[in-house]
Amino acid sequence: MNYKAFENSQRQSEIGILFIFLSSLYKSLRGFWVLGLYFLLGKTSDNLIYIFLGIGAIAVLALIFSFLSYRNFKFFINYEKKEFVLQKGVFSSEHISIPFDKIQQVYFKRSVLQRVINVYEVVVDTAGSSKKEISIKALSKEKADALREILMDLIEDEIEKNASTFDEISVEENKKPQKKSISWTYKLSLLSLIKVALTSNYIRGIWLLMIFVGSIQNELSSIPEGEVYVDQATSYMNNNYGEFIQIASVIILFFVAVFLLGVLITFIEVFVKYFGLTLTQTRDSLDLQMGLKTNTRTSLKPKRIQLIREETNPIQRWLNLYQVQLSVASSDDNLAKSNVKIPGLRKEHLEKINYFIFGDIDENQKTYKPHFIWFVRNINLAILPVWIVLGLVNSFSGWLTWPTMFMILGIYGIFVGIFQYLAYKKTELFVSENFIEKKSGVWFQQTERLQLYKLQSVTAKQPFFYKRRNLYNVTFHTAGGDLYFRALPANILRELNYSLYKIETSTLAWM
Amino acid sequence: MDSIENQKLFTNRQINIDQLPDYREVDLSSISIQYRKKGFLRLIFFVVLLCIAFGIGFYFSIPDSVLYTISGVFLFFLAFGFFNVYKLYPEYGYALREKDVIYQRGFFIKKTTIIPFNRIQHVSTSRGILDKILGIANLKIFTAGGQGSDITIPGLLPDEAERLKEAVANKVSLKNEL
Repeated sequence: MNYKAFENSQRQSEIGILFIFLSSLYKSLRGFWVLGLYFLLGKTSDNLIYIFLGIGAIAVLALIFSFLSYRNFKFFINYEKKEFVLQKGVFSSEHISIPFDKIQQVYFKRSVLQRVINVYEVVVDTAGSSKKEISIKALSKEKADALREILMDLIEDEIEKNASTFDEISVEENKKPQKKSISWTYKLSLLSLIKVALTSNYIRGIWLLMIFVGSIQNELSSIPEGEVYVDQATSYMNNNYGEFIQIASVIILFFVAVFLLGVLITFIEVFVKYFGLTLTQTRDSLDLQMGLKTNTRTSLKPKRIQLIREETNPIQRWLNLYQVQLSVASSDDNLAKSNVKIPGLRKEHLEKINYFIFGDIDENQKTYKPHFIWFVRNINLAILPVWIVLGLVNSFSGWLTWPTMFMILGIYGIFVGIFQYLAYKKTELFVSENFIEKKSGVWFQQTERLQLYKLQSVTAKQPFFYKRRNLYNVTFHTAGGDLYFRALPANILRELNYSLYKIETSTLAWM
Repeated sequence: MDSIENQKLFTNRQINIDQLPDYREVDLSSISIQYRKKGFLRLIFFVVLLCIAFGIGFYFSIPDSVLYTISGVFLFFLAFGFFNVYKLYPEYGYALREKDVIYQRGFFIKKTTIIPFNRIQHVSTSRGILDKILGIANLKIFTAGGQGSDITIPGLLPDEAERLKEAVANKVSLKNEL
């Protein structure tokens, strides 16, 4: 194979037109299936001719589209600038270039259609979020293989060249056979697992329950006889539960039942998911193993971890139980999967994990607190929907009198006020020489921590209602999720400048 | 890490945070006025669609009250849309510094995103139909930080977009050779 392969701009395999044609035809017909159904179900059979005409017209348009799409889709390797270039688009046009050293992986993908036509889809994967657009849909086997090979070679060359400019000693070190010396192991005992399961967040369980009930209800309502039950139930309710207190007690009973079921579901879920959790720290990774039904094993390298989130609640804190969530930079599509949750850890393990990932954490921290308006706004946001719902209920049914409404709202308001005040007190942002840390949460207390050099970018937002007070919402973007903080005074912007300084002077690889 | 070479180069001056370059002091370049036209054209297209829908509604004799309420709501949003497009345009701005790219946008919510060159994954330019008619282009900059971290600078002149793309791409790969 000659060195400068794919130097000139290339198109996909000609058979690719067929692939684009069929897939675009399928897509456009899928869009019109309702219309087709309408015509088919309509009694007039002379409409059939229109259907075929319509399908024919769509097919012709799709053919033109796929031809243009084929013509305009070009790719080549620019050896001089060390990048892979892709141009495409029929009505709109797009021009993408990816530097070699940013390419993570080059792989093939084949759908059923691509198998039938015997073409390969080549996907060029970067660490970015939207990889879907960097793929060549239809290439012959030879071309696909050649392209992949060349790209992978180029990437390797590039990485080697970069590595050689780094510290030579560290390269030497990497070449040494790595001993997997185990530093420590933690096994979650059955008792601890039960404790964790009992003190977890029940909201998820309750939510699962509601979905379940919702689907059951759908089933019921589709049975015609169901209405009889509903009627009976309604009349029963009307006859026996006319009084406000009785209705209230039924409602309370209902909520208690839902809550208990939610607890049960949460318990089972947590138990199954984290059964037999074992965390081992080796010389260069954290190895995790857990699960009753399916045993999942994960190995995490500190370098890949972008964001760490510790969570506990007062009961768990009392039991010395903490949960750690590690967000990992991954080249996979689904970000959710790259979050690893480890519950049931003790305080000492928390410290060990932090030390393993970050080394020493700086002590000199600057503290930033949200403006008091944060508290006011949160109260308003919490009260407004209740106010609206009560108003609607009142205007439609006239169940509640105005005084009761105000009473309900007042009691709710006091609770919200206390809760939000505590939340306000607990919400803090710390910036130190190398770290950012966010603390938040009244019941579920969270600490999020990241290293400044692992940031990808920063965003400052100022809604018009913050202009007068000169407040900002700031977001620190990492490859494992964002750290967002609202209503900070303008001096936080200095920390953005500092973050940028830290990113731009860092020579460490963030991944 | 502890090579002798590094020790010689090693300095540890105190950083005065107030003396760090402030991103707000940078003069931002504005985008082409054509982008405002694009916004208006999109709204006009929407109005046309609305008129057609209104006609169909009229044809199927939907009660006037319903029709008027719906179009009233739509007109309100439309008026807001025109106002927003008008007000949004001057708020767009971008700038390249030595080591990062700054992008600002938003009227009701003013947003500034700063992406260091050494965190950019790749760049692309794109043009939709309206962009082609109006002679403008978009520059997209992708990072590994997910949706909120990526930026799309609209309303650039095609040459300018291409030039910016080159400039950013050069700095992305330049850094790797140091």
